[in-house]
Amino acid sequence: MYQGQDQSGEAGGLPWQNTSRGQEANSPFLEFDCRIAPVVGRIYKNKLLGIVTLGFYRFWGKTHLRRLLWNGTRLGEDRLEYHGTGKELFIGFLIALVILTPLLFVVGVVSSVLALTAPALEIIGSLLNFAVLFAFWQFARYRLWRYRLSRTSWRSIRFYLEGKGLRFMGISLLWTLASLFSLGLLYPVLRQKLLDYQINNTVFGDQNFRFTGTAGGMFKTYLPFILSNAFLLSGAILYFVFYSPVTFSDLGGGEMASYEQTAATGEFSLILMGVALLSMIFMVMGRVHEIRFMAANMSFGEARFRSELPVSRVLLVFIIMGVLTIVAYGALFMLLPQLMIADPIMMIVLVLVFFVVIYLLFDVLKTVFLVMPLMRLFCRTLYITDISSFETVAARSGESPRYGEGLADALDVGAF
Amino acid sequence: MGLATGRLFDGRSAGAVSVSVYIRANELVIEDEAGTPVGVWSLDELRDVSPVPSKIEISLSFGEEDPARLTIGDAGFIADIRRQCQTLNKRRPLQAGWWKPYAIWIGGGAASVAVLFVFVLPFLATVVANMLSDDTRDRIGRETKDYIIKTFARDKSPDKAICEGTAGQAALEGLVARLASAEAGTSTPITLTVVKSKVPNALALPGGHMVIFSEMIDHADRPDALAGVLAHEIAHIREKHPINLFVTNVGIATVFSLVLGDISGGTIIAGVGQMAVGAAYTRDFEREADSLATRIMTEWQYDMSAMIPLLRSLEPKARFMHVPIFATHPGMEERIEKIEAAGNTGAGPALGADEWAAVKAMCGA
Repeated sequence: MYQGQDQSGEAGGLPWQNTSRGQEANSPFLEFDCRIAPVVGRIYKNKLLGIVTLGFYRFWGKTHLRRLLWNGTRLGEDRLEYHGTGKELFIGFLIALVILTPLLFVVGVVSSVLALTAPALEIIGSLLNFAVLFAFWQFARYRLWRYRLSRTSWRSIRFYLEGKGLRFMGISLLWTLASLFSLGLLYPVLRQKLLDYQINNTVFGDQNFRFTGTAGGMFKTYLPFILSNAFLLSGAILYFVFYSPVTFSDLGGGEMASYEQTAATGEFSLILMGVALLSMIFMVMGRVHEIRFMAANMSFGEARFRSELPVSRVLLVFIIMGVLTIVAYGALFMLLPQLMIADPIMMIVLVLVFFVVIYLLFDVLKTVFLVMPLMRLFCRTLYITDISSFETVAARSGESPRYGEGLADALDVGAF
Repeated sequence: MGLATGRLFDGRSAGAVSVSVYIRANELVIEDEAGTPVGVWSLDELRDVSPVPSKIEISLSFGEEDPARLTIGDAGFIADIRRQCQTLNKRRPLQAGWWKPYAIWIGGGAASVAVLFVFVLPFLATVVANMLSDDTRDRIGRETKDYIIKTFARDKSPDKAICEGTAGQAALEGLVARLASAEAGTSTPITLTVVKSKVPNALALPGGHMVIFSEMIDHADRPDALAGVLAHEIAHIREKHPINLFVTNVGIATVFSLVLGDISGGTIIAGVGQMAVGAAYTRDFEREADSLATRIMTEWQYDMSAMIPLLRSLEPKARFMHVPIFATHPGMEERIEKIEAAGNTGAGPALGADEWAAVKAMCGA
């Protein structure tokens, strides 16, 4: 599977500083210059038409939105073009409905029966349900990428994703289990296996992308964050076992909690939130370094890549989004009691209107302040040695999926 | 008309061919750098592929299936071609037979969902209802009952919400035992609880748990009216309707959330749809329970027609739920007609005068 050697070991520096292949990747590659106004307008239109059509507009709405986002992405001097249609998505969805609804339905009923038969089996039932959904989700995700790539063109030539969704699902399930049983230690291997399969199967025209990053290299990339998280979690556990006045038997019910215990529980949840937040920050940092590692170990023909994605900017985007979310929901909860005072019918109307506004607003916030800035950052910080490898590619002869994304849509995989 | 330069991508390779373009009559002429014509396209065939029309760059497509693209960055030329070609940002006309895949797959999808609702769901629900052990049903019933009692007790202690009154309770339990022993009754042991509430209702829960709200007893003007209600609930227990309903609701929720997706108000719509479909199932259950109740009452020679005034007295309060498609019970008139059609089921009374007085006194004044 691996096409090259682990370069990162010899380079001596950080794993993604991979310059041993001669020419440096210094030319800009991608640019995301999508305008915000048409995107926001489109999201509102999609939501409103979605309500009117009982949600069935979503296939056409998504297509229009993707056309905007693809068109807003430039590779070299030329824009990407999205060729998918609402019809393909809709029919893909209907196919999934015919084939998969009975299956998912039976799984749902079986697991709820297990839950009813004995409380002990309830856990098995929900685990089963979760496992089946997770497996489907992995499969669906791969098919979704294939559909999107096969409907993306640059300079009249299409992308494609080869390989098998089931194979991807297998890899994903196996290494997710391994990563769970190793308490996260093998998580980098999972990421490496997935990237390896996905990138080596990605095609532009008649030319494959190549990924040569090894599990060892990915492990080194993630190690600082795994160690930090392990340190953080074990510290938190030690604190609660030895220093906290709250013992676990206290937390598990019993009679009324005393004042001290209540205070200690407050402290408990505060520390828990802090730990979760720090852990999330480590996770984001890990992901950013993974992207750099990916770029450094990816090639297309003669072209090599380099990503300078800055951790601080990515974190800043997440912080802004977090603050905006808190403000939006805070406003909702501040205003609700005010609305309650108004007379009952007006109140219901106002609350409904308010709910719809918040509901619409949140998607816009997410797109404008999270998705688009991250996309812009990612594109701007990705460099290439020389774009000419892309310009000499010939069209690929071969099939492409006729209808797309059915299952993925049913499971609501991916926002766009 | 001015000459502009552009880049042509032919769909066979990503390499750009530098071309000159100009508009002649109603056509776009493309020539390579040596002046040799590469192609001539009627303006009607051309489309701008960009979702947002731009004044400074344009990428043109020559036909639905043609992968080739012509990119031009000349503002003057773009203004010209936009002026002369009104269809540049219009959709291409639909091809003949465009609707066929829609028709096939909408039909297939609808058939799949219909089969699920009409055959698979009721079948599975019955299988599941019979598979569960008595203990399990009893546990689910007891938990549901405790929840209901807690809800009606509000801030009072749950015990206060239960109507005591040993004599009344004994009289009701005796009546239930008699009714259940009928041929159309059930061998499942029944636990009866009377709950203080302003809602006139009676419920059968899984595992033979039955809950009667005090307002229902207040509405009954004769013991036989109450006996009819109890017989109806016994019939539900006999047919294991409560568990059946539980499984059915899980199934309906799954299907609706799949079909409608979880966005754009889909969840709300799914809730309404679920109410409509779920109610259709319960209407069938209610008809079944009514007809079994009539048999039980006949066996004991109690007067089923005593239920008619009781049903009528419930009607005004239940009006909200009577949009026909959402109503969980069959139309009141239909139920009354069926009871009348059953003719004289007996004279009663189901309870002696002392017993009836004790029942009426259970929840105090």
